[in-house]
Amino acid sequence: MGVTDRKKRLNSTEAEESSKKQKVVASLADLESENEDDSELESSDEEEEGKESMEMQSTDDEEDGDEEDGVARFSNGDPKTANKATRKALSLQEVQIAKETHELFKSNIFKLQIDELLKEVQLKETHNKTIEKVLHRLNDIIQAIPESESGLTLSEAIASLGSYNNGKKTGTIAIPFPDPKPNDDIKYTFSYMKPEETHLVGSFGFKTAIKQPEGVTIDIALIMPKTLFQDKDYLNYRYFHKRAFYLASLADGINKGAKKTSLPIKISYEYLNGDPLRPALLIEAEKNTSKKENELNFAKTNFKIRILPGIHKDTFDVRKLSPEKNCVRIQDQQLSQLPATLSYNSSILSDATYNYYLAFLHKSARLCEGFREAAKLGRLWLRQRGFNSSVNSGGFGHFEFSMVMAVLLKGGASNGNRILMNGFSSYQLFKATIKYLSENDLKSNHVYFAASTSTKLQPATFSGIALYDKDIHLNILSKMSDWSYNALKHEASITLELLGDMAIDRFEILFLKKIAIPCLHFDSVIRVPFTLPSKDQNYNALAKVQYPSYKEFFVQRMHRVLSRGLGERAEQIILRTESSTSWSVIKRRVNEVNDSEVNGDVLTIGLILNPTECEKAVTHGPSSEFTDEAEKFRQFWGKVAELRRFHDGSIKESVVWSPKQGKLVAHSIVEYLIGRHFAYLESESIEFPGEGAIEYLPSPNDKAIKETTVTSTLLYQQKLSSFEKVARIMQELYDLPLRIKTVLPTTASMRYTSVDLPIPYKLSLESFFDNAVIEFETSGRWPDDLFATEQTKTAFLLKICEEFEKAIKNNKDAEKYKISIGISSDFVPNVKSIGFLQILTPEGFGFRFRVFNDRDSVLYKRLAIGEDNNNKQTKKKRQGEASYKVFNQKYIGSITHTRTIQSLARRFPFYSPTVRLVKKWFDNHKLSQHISEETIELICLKPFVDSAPYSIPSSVNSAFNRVLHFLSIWDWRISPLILDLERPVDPNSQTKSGTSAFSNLVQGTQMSTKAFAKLSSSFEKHRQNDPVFTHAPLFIGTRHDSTGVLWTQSIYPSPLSKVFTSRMTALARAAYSTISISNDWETIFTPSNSDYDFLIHLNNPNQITKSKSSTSNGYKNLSIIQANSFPKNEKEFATKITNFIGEFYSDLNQTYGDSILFFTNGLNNSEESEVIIAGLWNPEILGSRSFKVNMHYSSKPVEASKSKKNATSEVALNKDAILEEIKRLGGDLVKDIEINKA
Amino acid sequence: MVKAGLKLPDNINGYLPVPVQVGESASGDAIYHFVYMRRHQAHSSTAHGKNDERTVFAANLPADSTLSTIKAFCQGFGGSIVEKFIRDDNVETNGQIILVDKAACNRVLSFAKKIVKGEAEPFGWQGEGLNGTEKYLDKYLQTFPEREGLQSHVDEYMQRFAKAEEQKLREVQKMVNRVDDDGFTLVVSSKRKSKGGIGAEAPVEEVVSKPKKRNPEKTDFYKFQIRQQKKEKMNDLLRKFKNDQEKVRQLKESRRFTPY
Repeated sequence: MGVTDRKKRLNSTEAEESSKKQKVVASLADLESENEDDSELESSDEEEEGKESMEMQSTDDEEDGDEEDGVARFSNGDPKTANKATRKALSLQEVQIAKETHELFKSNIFKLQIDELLKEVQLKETHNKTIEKVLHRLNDIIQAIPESESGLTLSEAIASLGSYNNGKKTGTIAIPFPDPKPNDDIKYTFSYMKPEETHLVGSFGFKTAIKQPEGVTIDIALIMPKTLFQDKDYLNYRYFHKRAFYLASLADGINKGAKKTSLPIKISYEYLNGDPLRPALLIEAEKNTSKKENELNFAKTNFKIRILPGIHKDTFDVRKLSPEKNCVRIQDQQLSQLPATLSYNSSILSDATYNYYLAFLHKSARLCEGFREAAKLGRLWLRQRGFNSSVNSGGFGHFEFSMVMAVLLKGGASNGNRILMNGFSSYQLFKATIKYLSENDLKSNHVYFAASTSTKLQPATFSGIALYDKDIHLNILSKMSDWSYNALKHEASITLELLGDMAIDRFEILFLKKIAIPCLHFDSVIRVPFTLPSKDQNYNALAKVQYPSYKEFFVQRMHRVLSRGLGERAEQIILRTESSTSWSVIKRRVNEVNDSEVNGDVLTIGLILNPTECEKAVTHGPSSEFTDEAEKFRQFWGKVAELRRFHDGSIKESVVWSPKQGKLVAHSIVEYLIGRHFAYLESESIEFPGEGAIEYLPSPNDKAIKETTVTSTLLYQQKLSSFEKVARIMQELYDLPLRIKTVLPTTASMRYTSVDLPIPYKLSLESFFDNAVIEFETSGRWPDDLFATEQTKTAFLLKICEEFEKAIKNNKDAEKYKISIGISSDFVPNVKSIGFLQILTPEGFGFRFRVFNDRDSVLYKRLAIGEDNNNKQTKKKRQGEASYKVFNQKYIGSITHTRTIQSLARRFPFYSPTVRLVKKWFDNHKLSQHISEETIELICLKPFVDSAPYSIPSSVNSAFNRVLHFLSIWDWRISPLILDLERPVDPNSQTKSGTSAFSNLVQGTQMSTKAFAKLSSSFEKHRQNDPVFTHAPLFIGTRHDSTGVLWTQSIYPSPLSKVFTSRMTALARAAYSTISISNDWETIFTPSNSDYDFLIHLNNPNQITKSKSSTSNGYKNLSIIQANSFPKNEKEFATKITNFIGEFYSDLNQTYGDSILFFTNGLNNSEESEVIIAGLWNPEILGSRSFKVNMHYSSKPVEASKSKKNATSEVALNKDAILEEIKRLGGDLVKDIEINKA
Repeated sequence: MVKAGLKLPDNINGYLPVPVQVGESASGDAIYHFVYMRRHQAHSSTAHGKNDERTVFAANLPADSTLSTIKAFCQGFGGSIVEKFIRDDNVETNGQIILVDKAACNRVLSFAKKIVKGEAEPFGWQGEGLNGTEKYLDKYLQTFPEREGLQSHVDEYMQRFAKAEEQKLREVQKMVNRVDDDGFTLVVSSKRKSKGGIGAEAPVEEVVSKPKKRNPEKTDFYKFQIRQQKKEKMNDLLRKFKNDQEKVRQLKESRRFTPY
């Protein structure tokens, strides 16, 4: 493309822009004229003044009192009219902003948030002033450094340097030669000459630096004179050696100069972006200097200065340094061709481009107003995702992002068109760049550009990810590796989906939240300690020239092995290492890796797994016919590879992994492969820190189950199919007065979410019985009275019972069905005598069926409204409300909920074990009685259906961590949890043209705006109705529950509800902070008992009843899973099925609910640990108060000596008596009561 | 006589704070529960007004109080005999203890006064036998009645219910023909089967007003219409903008713009 061409194009876009601006102006003019007309509608005598002031100046809004915009305040004239006029003038100004942002940004709020964010990260002006002075002084010092004699030999060069005191010891300044350091017999010489140019480069130079906790680094490029180098110096490290001497001379000179001019600094060496060939000089403020008041002390600014020696673009022939060339001649007879030294070459070229690219960026920013803002957004975005320019952190940072934008402003589309336009807003630039990154494959389609327009060189051919400068032969993305490029694309695709979210404001997770938190980001984290390069035989001479950095070499090799071994199981393999630190200038170099046991360098491998692939048992290899490939497969896998015949008759090489509850298949693979391909690493030093969590998943002590994968739902399926059988028999009963329409399950064990697996015949499981609901075909003949309706239902159940027995008579299992009718008094509070049909199946499961009838809703509602039909709150009405709530949950909500969760659990294989583990966590911390199972199930859906900013979790560990993290940060008081349970449209069935990013990497970005708005406003309403959180502190809205409180409401509103909520948040916060630092699962799952006022230690009910029951004998140690029949004796059955602790707990709540908040663990798995019911006195009833006859708690007179003279009517909570009463009520269940606090 | 340290006010708002020993602390001191007692003073309109003179009102009875435990309790006050116990509707631990006669009632109260004054020894509370695992086991077993018994119970109930409904229906039918004080006649559907729910507020269904049909009239014909529309659109935009500004201001206040 010619220069003129481009210019034309440039002009045309500028024309476009200006026409656009004109349009905005035109429409504003329209409005203005309308404003004039409209003012007639308002008071006309104010019109004149109004217009006048409109022209005067832009003013701020008087009403808002918002001065932050920095706009002058209107002050003269009659305040009343002025006010009015102001408003009008403001409107005009605002309309303009509103209109512009509407067109150029996603939404107004997005633009406003960007503005706020950028304000927040702006550098402080005072700091900039300080550092400017420092930079001036530094420049003076550098200019004053004396030049060395030319042609110093190596020893002379070393000797030419002075000494430096690094605070601990003094030594000669070392030359930071990269490996291999020059031999004594080298022919070339060293010298130092004044830098020819000094440039402020990097983000500070480009004015896109932002406030960062670790400070801002100011890069100064010093261009070394061309005369220092010979043409061939680009070969065999000579350039780098000379550069190192130059740097050491600078270090020496700056050190001396700083002392002379009392500039309080300290210096050290550091590898630039982790590149061991290119050390840089790091200058930091001397922190503990006595000269605090020195105006050049910049310690406070948190700035660092980095000196980068650079070269002119024409110092070397750039063609010789293009990526496919070899520049390190190694002697190796076996090699027919020397390997390309890609990394080496680009290190030299990068030194030639500091200022060159800065100019390129400056030019882009001049033409494109939003460029710098977009660059800052990109920078933040990358930072939150753990990317930066260092090779250890993906090799894609702020500079690379800006370069991509600059290139896309010039072209980039397949037809050569520009991807970005100069008129784009920062948001548009950012979004289009993200879109570009996510949709284009820079690996298969290299992008070529030319920062200047001088040459038309033929681009080189090479493999890798490339954004290639044809002029310089430099690949801007050479530091990226396959894994980091995949990761970048992955993040870009997720972000693109989030930017397309029409319903939910995603600003926070796009820019404000740190995403790269391993325990949340990755399904699995593996830590592999580094060994010294010398211990790794693979790092031979050949490898060394290709990978000057051992870390990079090791990481690349690890990635190759793991990505081959994991195949489709892993979506992403991310490998993070710590960036190397700076080191003292008196040392030549620092070991790139530290292999000490305590604080050694560790490679952190993060896996993002594919939920449907990762737990598969077989790794398929090539068919045995392809001998070459089969051989390679065997080579790679070693002894575990075997030839197998598969169902389809094919015979293939394969590896079979045995699933285990506690270990991901991916972990087994990684462990094996590291052992095989990295044999020099000690296998026990490899850590899988997340694995411990699954140990807490309740799982029967049974070998068959332990050897299934954690996602196995076999037992649930058994129970479901047992249910189906019963339901089918019922639905086929014809001799009933009404036909049965549906028979539906309602409880957790029927939707894969009961904390215990549904083990057949295990009566002690809290979830042993499923409560199912029978619905008959509609009939108008039901009585119009609740009690009578319930009686009628019982009559129906009796009939079903009879018919059922008839129906199964010829069944071979007939004997094994056990059918009975019961009347429950506490299924729905305050509604006695609800009949149920209890069926024990031959498969060992239990179901209880109750009848639901359409008209029930009306009857129950009548209870809640009360008969007197007024607003007076009576006890009866409160009870009626409670009944109505529970009725809605158990008969209506639970059916929908069960169906929904069933299908979601099937869609997300890791959902079921996650819910179970989270329930266990709640139970261990004695919270499970304060939160309904359904609420936990909904909360656990969050990482699955609203997974942003991550993809769907594919391990229990990541899902569990994300749930805890969510609970730890969520503020229920101000935020509704809104879940989109709609299954997103399958991208394959409805392909919209051009939206290939529609990949569903994240869930929950496609909620309809309307549905979201409806639930949001429902939340607002709820908060208004429940301002003090007595009804329902948690709001979880779904399409099935627009009230948002169906499962979270307190059955009896109580001020204590919020106590529980804050406790849940506090515990989650503590647990999450433990997870994020130590993975100490024991701490996470061990409750603290010290926060309670008293602890009721309970006896194990099984033991009590065992000793009492005369019939039970010999079964004591029999593992229950081996049982294959129910106890024959009714009393024994009753003993096993009764949940004594649950009964006692609910008794206590009923009796003391107003005065004590109870907590308990072990309602689910009372066999394992000691069961405790803990209590907290209601803080509102502590202290003495005047006696009233209708107090809801036991009191005692305040002792006369303590009370005031006239306070004889004062009473106080009688704690001791209450605890004695509890002991009495608990009888043999209570072991003792421990009082924690007086 | 009375254990040291128990100094009680003679009465608390007219109630005698009667100590009942329920246990012993670790150091061997008695733990007392307090029942507040006084002569019952009912409003004359209540049904039990006639029993006033032999009724004690007791507040804060132990949680496990039943007729039998209260009977045992009153035995302690000079062998007074309880006839009936009427539990309070709102506070379960309060209730009226109706004694056999006025004398018994007086005896209870004077005995109680003695205890409060320290002239008589407080006595203990006798809890009921069934507690702990036995109670809950019993509860479970109670849940499953014999099937035949249940059948006949249900049948019986339904018969009674049907009769009662018929009776009510007749009453309802009568109401139809009656004109009340305000001159209204109750309208009852002929299909109605019972009286239940009449007069009570009908369940509030959320009324979703359907959007009105679009007016076929042209809305962009006259200049003023177009202008009006444009203005509305602008106002709308502006309103949204204002809302957004407000939202961001709130976010800013909650320090939501720090990215680290």
